[in-house]
Amino acid sequence: MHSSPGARAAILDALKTGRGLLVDLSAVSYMDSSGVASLVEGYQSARKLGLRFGLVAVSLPVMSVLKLARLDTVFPLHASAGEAD
Amino acid sequence: MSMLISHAYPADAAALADVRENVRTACLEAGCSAECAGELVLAVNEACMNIIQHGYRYAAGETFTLRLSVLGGRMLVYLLDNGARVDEAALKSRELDDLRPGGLGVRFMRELTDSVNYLEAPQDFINCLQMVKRIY
Repeated sequence: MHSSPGARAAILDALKTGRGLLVDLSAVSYMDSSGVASLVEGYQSARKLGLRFGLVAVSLPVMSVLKLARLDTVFPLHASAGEAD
Repeated sequence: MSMLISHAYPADAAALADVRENVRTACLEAGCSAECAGELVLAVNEACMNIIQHGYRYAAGETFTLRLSVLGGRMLVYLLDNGARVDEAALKSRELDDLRPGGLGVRFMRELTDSVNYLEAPQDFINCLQMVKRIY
């Protein structure tokens, strides 16, 4: 909740460039519903713009939260940015 | 019943890291597995977020009280606050097929614990949320 507003703004700003976005979560060890909401909003914005949106290097704790929200099959997931290319 | 935590925290997102750490430590000391502790940490975090966001609407200077105890193989969480009175019937736990931001907090609380209930609050508080989770 503390860092989600900043993450949300960064995601939406990045999408304004008109390019697809891969969100690197390798440094994220904890995520709550506000973080999930930021990712969902980014995903939906990207889809509306016809842009690619994916998650990279999702840690096990974050994956468990995505599974809880049943979003693990919604977001494209990649082990690394290189793999996503 | 053994009281593990009874503490008033600032109703501020910056305080949630302390809440999580304290709950995790108490759960592990009470015999929870790491997974069980992690689930209760997330449920408590979500409940605290609701207090900050919906109860106090981010007002500065407010507090909530967390009481965590263990009884008969179950973790008992009580969150007490003086924010807007919660209408339990209006609490929304959205369907997961409905892909949209928000509305996941209550869903998480219900999925990660065995029961979530609002009880009559003790004197000096408006809301009293109780969550119970079996230790595993």
